[in-house]
Amino acid sequence: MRTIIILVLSLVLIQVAVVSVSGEVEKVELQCDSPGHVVEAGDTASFSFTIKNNYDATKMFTLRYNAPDVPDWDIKFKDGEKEVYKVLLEKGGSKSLKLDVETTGDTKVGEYHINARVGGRSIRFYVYIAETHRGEKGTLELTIMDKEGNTIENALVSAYKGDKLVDQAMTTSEGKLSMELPKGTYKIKITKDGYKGKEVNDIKIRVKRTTDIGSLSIEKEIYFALVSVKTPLKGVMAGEHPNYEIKIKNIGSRDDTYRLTFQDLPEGWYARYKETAESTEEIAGIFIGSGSEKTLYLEIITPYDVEIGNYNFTSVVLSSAWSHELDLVLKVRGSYDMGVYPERYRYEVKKGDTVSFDVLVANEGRGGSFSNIVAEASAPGGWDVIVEPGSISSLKPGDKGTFTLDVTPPGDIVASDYKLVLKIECDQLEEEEEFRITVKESSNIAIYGVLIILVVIVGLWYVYKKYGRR
Amino acid sequence: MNGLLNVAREEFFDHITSKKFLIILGLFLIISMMAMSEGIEKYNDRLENYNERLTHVKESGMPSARFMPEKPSILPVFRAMSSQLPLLGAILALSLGFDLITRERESGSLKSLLAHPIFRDGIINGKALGGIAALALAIFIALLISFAMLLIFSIVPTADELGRILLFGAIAVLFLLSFFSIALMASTVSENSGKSFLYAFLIFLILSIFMPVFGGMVTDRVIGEPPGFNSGHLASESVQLGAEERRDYDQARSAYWEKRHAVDDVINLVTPVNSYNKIISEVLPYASSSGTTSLSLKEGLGKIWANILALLIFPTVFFAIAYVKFMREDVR
Amino acid sequence: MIKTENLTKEYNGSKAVDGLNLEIAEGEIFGFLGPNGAGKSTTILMLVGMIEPTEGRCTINGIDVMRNPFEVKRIIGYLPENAGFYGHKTATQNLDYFARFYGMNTEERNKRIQELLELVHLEDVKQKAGEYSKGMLQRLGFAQALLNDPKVLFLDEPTANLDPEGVIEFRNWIKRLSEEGKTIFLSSHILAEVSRTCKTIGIITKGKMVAKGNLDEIRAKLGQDKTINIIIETAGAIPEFHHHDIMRAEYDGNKAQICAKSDIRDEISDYLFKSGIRIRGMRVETPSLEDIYLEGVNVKDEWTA
Repeated sequence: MRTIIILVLSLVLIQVAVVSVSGEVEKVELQCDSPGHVVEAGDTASFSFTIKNNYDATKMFTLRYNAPDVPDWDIKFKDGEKEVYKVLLEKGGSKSLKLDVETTGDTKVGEYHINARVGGRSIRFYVYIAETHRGEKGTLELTIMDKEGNTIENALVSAYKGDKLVDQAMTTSEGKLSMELPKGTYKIKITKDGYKGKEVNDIKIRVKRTTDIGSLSIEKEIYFALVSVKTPLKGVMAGEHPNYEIKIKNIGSRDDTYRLTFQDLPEGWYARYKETAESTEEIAGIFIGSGSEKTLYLEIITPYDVEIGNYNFTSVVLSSAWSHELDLVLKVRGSYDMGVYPERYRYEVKKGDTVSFDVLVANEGRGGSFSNIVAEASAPGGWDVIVEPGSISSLKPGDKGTFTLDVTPPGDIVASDYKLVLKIECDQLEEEEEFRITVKESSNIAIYGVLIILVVIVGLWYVYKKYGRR
Repeated sequence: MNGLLNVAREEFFDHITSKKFLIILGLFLIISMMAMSEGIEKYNDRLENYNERLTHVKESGMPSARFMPEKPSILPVFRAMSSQLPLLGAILALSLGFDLITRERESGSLKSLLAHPIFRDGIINGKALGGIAALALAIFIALLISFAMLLIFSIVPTADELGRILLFGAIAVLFLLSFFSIALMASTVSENSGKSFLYAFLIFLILSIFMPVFGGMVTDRVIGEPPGFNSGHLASESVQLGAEERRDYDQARSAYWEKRHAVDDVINLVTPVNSYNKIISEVLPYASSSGTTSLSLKEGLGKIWANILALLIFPTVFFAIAYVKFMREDVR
Repeated sequence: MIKTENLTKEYNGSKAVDGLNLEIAEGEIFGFLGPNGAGKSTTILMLVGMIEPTEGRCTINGIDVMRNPFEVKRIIGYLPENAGFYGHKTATQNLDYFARFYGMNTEERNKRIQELLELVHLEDVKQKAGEYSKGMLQRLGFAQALLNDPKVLFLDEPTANLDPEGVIEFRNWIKRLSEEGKTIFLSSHILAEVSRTCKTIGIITKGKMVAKGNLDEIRAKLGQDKTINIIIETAGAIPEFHHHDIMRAEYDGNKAQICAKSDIRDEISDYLFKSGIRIRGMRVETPSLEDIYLEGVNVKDEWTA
């Protein structure tokens, strides 16, 4: 269907061209058999036309054209492959020339015309853009090598339009890169760890076109190392000491010694670099030969009362020539655990007396502080229980506080065992502890015992007195 | 005094060379040692665990002593031995004592003995002393062997533990003395060894088996359930009562518990096993298992002196019966 | 040396010893004679403090046995009836145990025990006392009684388990001990035993002393109220004879045995003569000491019955 429309249109256009040319016979004759071309946006329409010198003498003609109102179209008069702008014709001589109209890929669908003028005569060419590639990209291709001609993989190629980074990509193992970019003029930056960077300006990318800038060579750095960390984000329970595994690969051309430091370590924290995860020996620097690789461990020792949360800090590797920073994150998880420690679980008190005892509350959790700790005692009716202090505002992990209980049973109570429940509550959790309070009458068993022994002794004494010893 | 020591000396050597003594002691030792070696194994496990925790605490550098794990105690190991005493030890004491007088009566040696200048209570006391010495020796041997076992397993008790172990030994002898006094009393009042054994064994069964097991039941039967409108005094929230009701209830409750206490006291007083177990639980505590801070030895003694007194009642009463009975006895 | 005053022992209301008064001088050998169950052993047991008198008291060398048994035992030796010992020990061990009560040192003990074992011929016996015969036990008992060289020796049926040879030897020991000035109190139910060794004899039956003194005195004491046995033989049948002194009579054809309170031979012969019956023979049976003893015991039986 589309082909048919284009065909019909072409016929109409040819008719017009012929008519225009045939209107001016005289000095210069311009002849084109097919003045209308149907192309895709970005394609080149190449019009062949003939100039005939009907002057009586040899004459020079300047070739001009009026470009349509489309930016960036590249319009050239060509004599074979050569671009020309003037032709010299003998009397009666004629010459076949071409007008190449390179359209841009983003040209809208529609008809465009170009007026070519030669020696006062003009001829109109028609270009019909049947299909547009507006919004489509062009391709940049390049290969990166070092001075010795070895291809370099994983070199980072960044394309900037002005100062704006448009795209970046890494070279393949063959050092090649193929990057699609919107049309435009780009600055290409090539960076690679251990190599000096390189910039190439004014790379034009056209829609649907491949711009191959061929091989680029970059130069190796003298001092350089690759520093990487296996897992920059670690999660630990409070009280645990994570090890970050850090790899340093000296890819510079010389051996180097690296100093190991860190930045932004939270207050009270302590960190050390070690050669193995198990080691406890701290190292401050490390020597690595050119081309070798070593693995280090950075142990983070958090304080016992570390709070739950995320902590950021930076490991810094300093070489002779540069420094490398690794941003590390430690996520401290915690647990809430309350320990309640009475001196005993059983207390004795005589009727009407007061028994006083301490209960120790310890934050045995990891990482989490307790706040608003309150002790609440529930005793049988009529009992008087005073808890001091009323509350403890906070307890950090590892800290402990003391509640003192003064327990007074009612005076008319029966001697027996009673249960006292002490509930320790804080904002985070609560614990319950049970006590048995034995209300004592008096030690009857001892009295009975003494009584029995006395009776027996008196009885014996009496028997001996009466009967004498035998 | 001279006569008493002579009797004691004679009895002591008779006991420790007698077959029944050696057999029962041997049995006691074997069973105790088996139980102990098991206990030592457990102790070693706990010790290992403790050391691990200790290293962990030290390595992690925790500042607070609060988190120092409690060092396991060897005392529970001796519990193994102490638990054998109420049965095997009591049987040993009974077997040493039940025929002391009856056998002499049966063989006629009692007349020969009494023809010589010795007071009759001297004979009882001498026999008692000899018996206690033999029992003490038995306990001493048992402790010595257990010590040797500890040393073999490279366990050295602390001074406090040593003190407790020795105290345990003394309590054990006192406990055995109770049964020995029962046997001696039975032997004094019985016509012959057979009856004496029967009486002594019967009393042993009542004191060691019946009373501890059924004592509480008997109390419940005799005294009944506590009075009340509710499960009573353990309820933490008291039910609202009228003043009068409340007073009546309080009175009933008070009377009930007083009565119950008196009965409990009496039952505990006449149940040496109860007293013994109470003492042992203080002297040889299962440290740290319940989280209870164990008392110092001195504090513990303060708590159990009444029980020690209760244990003393048995020898006192039964020896007194034996004295009176023997002194007034016609030896025909 | 030995004195009892109204010494009485009751068992369940019946008196085993009934108001016994006894006084034995120092150096005397006193034979305590009576049938089994008469109260001999009970008396001795009271004298050595084994049993407690229901009433009365006894002293030895002036020391009250009940009040101060310990002191009494220091000076007495006692051989119980069927002496018993510790069966699992040898003679030496048994004696050593008892000897220790006297505070002797080892040397003294060993010497004394050796002497005594030689005396009773047990020095070479290695068996344990449990394997001894009754006779051996008796001899060991004798040695035991002499351990402390006692002033007073109580021997309860000392010859009961001995063989004849042992009995003779025993008599010699008693003689010798008596010569040493020891007071010896010996009980037996055999008159022959007592009459041979003892200077003084007391006869007890049913807890009561029925006679006491030397042999003649005993005979007289028991004989004085003795019945007389008259044995008569006639030519024809004997008619029954009546007299208020006759206690019983047995007639057997021409023979008769009449038991009377007095010697009524004259009255009998008169009667027979008057009846015209010839007398072949008539005699009075004189009782032996044994008979007197047995009679005495029986009479007392009847009295008390």
